[in-house]
Amino acid sequence: MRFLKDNRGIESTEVALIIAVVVLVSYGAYRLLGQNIASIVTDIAGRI
Amino acid sequence: MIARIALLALLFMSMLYDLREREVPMLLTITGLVGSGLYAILNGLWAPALLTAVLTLVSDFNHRAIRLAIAMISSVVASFVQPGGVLICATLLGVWVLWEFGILGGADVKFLIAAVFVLGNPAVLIPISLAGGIQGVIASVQKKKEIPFVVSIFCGTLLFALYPYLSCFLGKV
Repeated sequence: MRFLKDNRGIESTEVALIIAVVVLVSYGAYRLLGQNIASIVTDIAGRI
Repeated sequence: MIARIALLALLFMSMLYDLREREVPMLLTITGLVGSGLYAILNGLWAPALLTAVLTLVSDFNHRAIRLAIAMISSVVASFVQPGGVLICATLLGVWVLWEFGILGGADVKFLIAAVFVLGNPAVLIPISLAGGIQGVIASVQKKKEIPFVVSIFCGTLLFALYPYLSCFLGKV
């Protein structure tokens, strides 16, 4: 299986920096909207 | 507690391998993924564990569009089947997509999934990515092009695992 056999690591410093920025922005968005998203998903799951 | 110690020990060993040989043995990555998946199932996170198995199988499909479509549909289904694991499912899909596009390495993704499963909280990615950002800045200053990201995964996971004890200790000081 391709996923299991792949043992590469991150190779570029830029990628690490970009991921850090993306995760921080995502965390900020989650702090603002997370509760609403979770309740919407729970509501839809309940209806299904 | 034992699972957290086992995870940290596994990450520490992998970090040493990565620093010395710039590669992590497959035995360590697969042990981490399978062990943490079983731990997740025992803790009731069966939908995210099942999603990981699906994502592993999907990675062998021929066309990227099909792989992405099945991965997304599986993640949505897993989220609806177990709404409590919606954030974990979204995280799994996110790191898998980063691997699919070659942005993250397979070893990194397996360790990230293991950390999320054992700690039961995708927020562990925040200290890990912060550590990665710091590591990236240091490497850029030293004009290095490559970094062993397992160091960041270990440091971030250690910080996240110790945070409750640290905050308790600091609160008393």
